[in-house]
Amino acid sequence: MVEAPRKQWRGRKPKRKSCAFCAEKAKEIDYKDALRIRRFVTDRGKILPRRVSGNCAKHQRLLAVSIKRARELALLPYAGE
Amino acid sequence: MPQYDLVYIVKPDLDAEAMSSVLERANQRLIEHGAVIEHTDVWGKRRMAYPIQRYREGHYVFSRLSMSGDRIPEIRHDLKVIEDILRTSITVAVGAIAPPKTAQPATAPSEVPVVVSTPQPETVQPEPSQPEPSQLEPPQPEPPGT
Repeated sequence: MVEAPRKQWRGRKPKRKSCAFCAEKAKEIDYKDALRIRRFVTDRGKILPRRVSGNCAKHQRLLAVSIKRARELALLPYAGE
Repeated sequence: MPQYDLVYIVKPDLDAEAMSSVLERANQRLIEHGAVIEHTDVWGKRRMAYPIQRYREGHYVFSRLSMSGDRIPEIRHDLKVIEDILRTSITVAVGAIAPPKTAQPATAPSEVPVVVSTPQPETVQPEPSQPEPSQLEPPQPEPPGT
């Protein structure tokens, strides 16, 4: 009964993502470090979602604020490149 | 006293003299409001992600201030009045201040051994390549011999 709905896994198992900021135990994310933050923005300038970047909720919140601050200083684009 | 980060963008078409006078004016305003400038770093001319007042580049200046927070609106206003400043941002201090230039030579010697270590494999690689031509040479005398 329990084994009936079990499906065989097709294809490669998705790799478990890990938060880049947790790895270095970052307590804050510097908005002035545009090169670092740029990795978490699409080429259209949008903030990458958590499911893509793999960040934890806490760091994603901090990151979003620092991206918005960097945009204000024209370190990152609001839209496009 | 709490610490704050101030970043402002100065117009790119100013010469060094005008630039320093803008910095001086800005610093004077800060001191008037009781801010203690703990660190100033001129990032230099940078390309902006989007044009501000039709300028595509700007001189970025970063300062770490230590002051009471209730003066921030006045500082914001005073910096806005300076025409040569395109944009300002004052936030709670984030991140460590970049170490002074004395720390850079300390990192440079550590890089030197790395550079020294990398040529060693490179020097090893030519050695096997050198015997190869010598191996090729003996066949060359053979054809005259035959």
